Parts: sequence; C-alpha cells; structure tokens
Amino acid sequence: MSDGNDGGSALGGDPPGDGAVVGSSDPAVDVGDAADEVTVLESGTELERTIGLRGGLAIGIGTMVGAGIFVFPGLAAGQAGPAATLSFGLGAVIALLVALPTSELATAMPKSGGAYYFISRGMGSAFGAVVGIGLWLGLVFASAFYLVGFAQYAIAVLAELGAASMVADLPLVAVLGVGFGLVLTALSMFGTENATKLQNGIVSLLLGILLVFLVYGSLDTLGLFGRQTVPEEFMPFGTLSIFTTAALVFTSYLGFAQVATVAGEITNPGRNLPLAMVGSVVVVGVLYVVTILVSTGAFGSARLASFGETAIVEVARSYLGFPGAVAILVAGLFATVSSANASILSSSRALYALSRDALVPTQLARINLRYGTPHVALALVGGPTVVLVAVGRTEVLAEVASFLHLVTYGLICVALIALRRSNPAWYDPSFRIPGYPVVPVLGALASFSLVAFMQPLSQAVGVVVALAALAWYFVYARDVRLKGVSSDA
Amino acid sequence: MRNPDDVRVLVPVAVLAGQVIPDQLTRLLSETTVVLLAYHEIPEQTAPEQAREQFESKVRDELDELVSAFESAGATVETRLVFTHDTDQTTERIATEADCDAVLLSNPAPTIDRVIVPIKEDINLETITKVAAAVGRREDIELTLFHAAEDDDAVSEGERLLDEVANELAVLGVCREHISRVVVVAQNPLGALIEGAADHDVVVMGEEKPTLRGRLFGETSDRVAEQTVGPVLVVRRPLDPEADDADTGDSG
Repeated sequence: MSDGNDGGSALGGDPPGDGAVVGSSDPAVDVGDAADEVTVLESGTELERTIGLRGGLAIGIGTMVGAGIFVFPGLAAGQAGPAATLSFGLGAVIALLVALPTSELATAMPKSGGAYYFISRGMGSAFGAVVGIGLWLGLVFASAFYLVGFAQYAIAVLAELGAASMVADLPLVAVLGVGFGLVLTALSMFGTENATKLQNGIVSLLLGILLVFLVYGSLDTLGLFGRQTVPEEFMPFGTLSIFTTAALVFTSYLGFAQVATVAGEITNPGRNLPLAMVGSVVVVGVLYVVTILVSTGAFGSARLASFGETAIVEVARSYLGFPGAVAILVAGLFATVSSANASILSSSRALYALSRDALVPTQLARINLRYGTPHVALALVGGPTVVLVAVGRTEVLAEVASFLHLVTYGLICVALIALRRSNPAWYDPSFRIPGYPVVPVLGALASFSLVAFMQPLSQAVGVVVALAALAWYFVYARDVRLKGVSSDA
Repeated sequence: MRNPDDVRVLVPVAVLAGQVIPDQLTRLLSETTVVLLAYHEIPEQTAPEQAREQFESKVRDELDELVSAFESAGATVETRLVFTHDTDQTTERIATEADCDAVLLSNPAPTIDRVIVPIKEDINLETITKVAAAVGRREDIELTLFHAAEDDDAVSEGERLLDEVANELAVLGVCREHISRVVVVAQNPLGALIEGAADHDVVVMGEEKPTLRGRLFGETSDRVAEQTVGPVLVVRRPLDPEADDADTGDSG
C-alpha cells in the first residue's frame, strides 16, 4: 500500500467554494497523488485506476499484433526475403530501446496523454504541439492502415465463401474499410458497454490461435513432420533491404506507447506500466520473428509476396488445412479490428491532452453527457481515418504512421535525457531505466535514422504533417507556456 | 481512532446519473456516520481526468446538497468524490479505506417503517446487530428478526439465536416492543427471505461470500435488492487487521 496518500486529502467536509475554481486547473505537472488504485487530486477528488497488468498488456499486444502478423508477412518477404526476420528483430530492438525510456517517463507522469505529456513537460510546448498533433494524425494513419488490413481479411472471407465474384466490380477495400471505420467510430461514440473485457478476451483468443499455429508451423518447418522447407537465399535483396523493410514493418510495433496514453488509469503504475510496455514488445517481437520464419519456410518469399496482405492465411492453409485457414481468417478480422479500435481511442486521448493544455480548442475534449464519451475528439479521429482508408495505399499508410510515431519516439528519448539532466523537483519516477544514458541515446538515434529508410512519398507526407503541426502551434498556441519545462524552446 | 459504537455506512450515489437518496432513507441513517460516495462512472473511451475537468463542479454541487440533507437529518457525514470506470472496484476500495460497517444498496423507498434482519449463525452477527440497532433505535421503526431453519428440528435453535440477538439489540437501546421474531422452515432460504421481506421496507443483511475484488456484494444481497425492490443495507464482513491503516480518519 502507498502510505500517506489519503491522510489529509479533504475527505471530510468540503472546503467551501472549491467547486468554483476547477476550470482554472494549471496545465503544469499536477501529477496528483498516485496510489496503487487511485489518484487523489488536491481538491480531494479521486480518479480510480482500473486497468491492471493484464489490461495493459492487452492494450499493447492488442494494438500491435494486428499488423505484424496479419498484414506484413507477405509484403515484408517480398521486400527482404527471409531476411525480413532480421527486419522484425531490428524493429523489436528499437521498440525496446524506446519502451524503456517511455516506461520511466510514464511512471514519473502517470497521466493521460502519454508521449505528448512527457515531451511537452520535458522539452516545451512547441515540441509538445508537434508531437501531440503528430500522434493524433499518426494514429489516424495507423487506424486507416489497420482498417485496410481488415478489409483485406473481409474480402478473403468473401472469397472463401465464394461470394467475391458477385461483388467484383466494387472497390471492396474502400467500401469495407470505410464502412467498418464508421461503425467503429460510432461504437466508440455511443457505446458504453464495457469493451475492455471483450478486448482482453479477443487478445487471449488471438494469442491462443497464433500459439497453436506457430508451434505447429515451427516444428513442421524444422522437418519434424517430414516437410521440406523451400530452400532459398537468406538475403536475396541485399543488406539495405533489411533496413527499408524494418522501416516499413515498424508499424507493427506502434502500440507499446499506447499503454502510456492510459497511464492515469493503470493500477500500481510503478510496476505495471514498465511490465506492460516492455512485456508487450517482447511478446509481439517473438511472435513476428517466428511468423516470418514459418511463413517463408512454407512458401519461399516470392510466392509469399504474391499472396499480399493475407499471405498468412495461405501459410495456415498449407500447414493446417482448411480449418487453419478459417481460424487465421477469423483471427485476422479480430486482430485488425482490435488494433484499429485501440488506435482510435488512443488518438482521441492525444487530442484531449492537447486541448487540456489549450494547444487546440478546448471544445475538442467536450464530453457528451448522455454517453459520457468525447464525441468531438472521436469524430476528429474517425473522420480523417475513413478518408485515408478510401484513398490510401497500405505501404504508405503504414510508413506515415511509423514516421510520425518514430519522431515522437526519438523525442521521448531526448525528453528523458533532458529531464534527467535538469532533474526538476517533481520528477520522481518509480522505475528508472538501466543503462542510462546509452539506452535513450541509442533509442533516439535508431528512431530518427529508421525514418531515413522509408519511401520518399511517406517521408514527404510525414514532413508535411510535422511542419503543419508546427505552423499550427505558431499561429494558434504560441503563447502557451507549460510549466515544469526545463528549457522552453 | 473511531469510536467502536459508531456505525459507519457507505452510501454510494451515482450523482450525475440522477440517482437520489429518498428522504426516508436519509432519516433512517440519521444515527450513523454516513460516508457519502459521490461517483461518476465513465466509459473507457473517456479519461477520468477528462470527465473530472468537465463535471467536477457539478458533482460537488450535488454532493453538497446530499451532505446538507444528511446533516440536517442528524447524521455525521464524510464525503468522497470519485471518477471511475468501475463502480464495484471503487465501492469496495472506499468501503475498506473508510472502514465502513455497511454499504447501502439504494432503491426507492416511499415509506420506511418495517426493517427485516435475516440472521444466520455464521454471518458476522456482532456487526449486523450493531447496524440493526443503529437503524432500529428510531421510534418509528419496527424490526423483524428473520431466520430460515433447514428443518423442524432446527427451529428451536433458530429461536434461541433470535432471542440472543433481540437481547443484544435491547442492550443497544432498541425498544423491545419494536422487535418481532420470525423463524420459518424453508428449503430455499433466499426465497423465504424474499417472501418474508415482501411486507418490509428495508433489508439489513450480512455479506455472504468472501470479499473478492470487484465482487463486493455476494450475489445474494444483489438479488434481494432486485427482487424486493427496496433498499438493502449490506453489512460487510470483518476487515483484516492490517487493512485498518487504510483508515481515512474522521475529519468530517
């Protein structure tokens, strides 16, 4: 138990008139008194912490697993051959280098908003604005990417049912992706059912299906059941392809930092935040690497690439027959939906954090009294998402999402260094990373350099978004000063 | 330190959902220390901080009104104000921290004259008696002690048990004329209780199952509240000794 959190926090009679000053709450670092299960604010109001370690892991894994396994294997194998395993491994290492600093910052500032909050407090409001807006749009791109993936799976299901030919002249990806994007947005605006348990269940189910598939596939690949793996050159496209592919598939690791966006709701944050973030990266990293090994073992990368986004279904079919294909199709539908849903929710949290600091109009964070949901913010996520689904290409959506996140991740590492050096009085993380300063320096360098390996189009879109965010800051919010900041840029 | 005779009752109120505590209930609890828990449950799409910024002053206003209602009835009041995704977890936590003897499951109560108190051997008799006395000392209240015996042989034992409780209640200041005793033989004690509670307004009953997180109310009390459509005072099981340091003090 955390001692002394509840002693004098005005639990008895109410101080007169303190209801009147609530709106003027300082945007500074008012971390509140974070106990294991509750944050007690100065006014005596308590915010319950309700997400445990399982829930945190489910958010991290649920966000990530949709992409790496169910969308990328075919694309990645097409770009790097079997060496795509190295690309996924490299991505996992970079994600870990960032997850550790993020954990430390999150335990020091267990508040809603995650990365935006750390960077605005560590480096000032200009960086904060770029990161906050970048996160919002980065997650919009990510959600669009997941929805395109979902549409591919829905089409594969139709094909399996033999119904694809009936609707062949429709732009199915756009129709299904946009349609489901609208459904998800509407559900998040008007649905008040407890989706967390559902999400936890879906993630458990997914991991179960994947475990069976991957264990069987691995054993089979190793020749235990007499299978001949397709012999192939490990690095058919050269060393560079490993890095460009890593840049592409890094989207599969956008998710651990989403745990930090709900840091204010995680129980026992000092323990559960680092475990959830690092744990989810390790779990999905292992799954991805094994998936690529199994997939390329089954078909060889050229054939795998020809299956496109739903390549993993064919892999499952080759190992486990029709039931395997069905299981993976179902898993793919769930996984992409769960990723898209988690990203939409995180994105609205990012908008909320921006509006709390008045970097965007405060109306954006309005909560609908009837449903209790931030409907404006959710609409501002769902709207652009479906537009992107309608026009976007998988690779570009993925890379722009990665670009915007990588900039944020790099800055998280820089913010950690800045905060450790200036060491303000409020900075008291309950988890301190090992290997400082090597880990954050490497994390920052790796994040920024991965951007260099992306397609020019993705880089251009990413740069435009970042510049637009900066322009917004100078036009709208130049006067915003965030206290708790060491050096305001 | 709290006075051992003091009865502390947790009253959770979903303030913004329009939940009100009927005047009758306010008066029933006038001799207790009321821990008023004003909570607002929000969906997980919404950060609790976000809801707080928008709703805190409104919740405080509602809470202040409730406080004055209880105080003018004579109760001592402490308050908690929580934004949460999970009401059960919050209720459980506050009940433990504030060291409450009972939790009120509120239901509409047009009149409160008759209170039924189901008694079993193994359920926390001491605290149930204490809570029942705090409620039953009021002159306009009739207490019915209720026991469901398994078979005819157990009836006399049940009567003896109710006598003990009645004596203890009298010691605690409840007028003997206001205490009646009912022992029934029933295969289904819960059904018998719900039947017996039909002509009563409030049930005071012990919490049955071990307190598991998120399951504060053993299903029994919830079902009683549902089926009798009246308020239920759920008397909590004794706390572990080490949980006492989570006591929040009696600053109110």
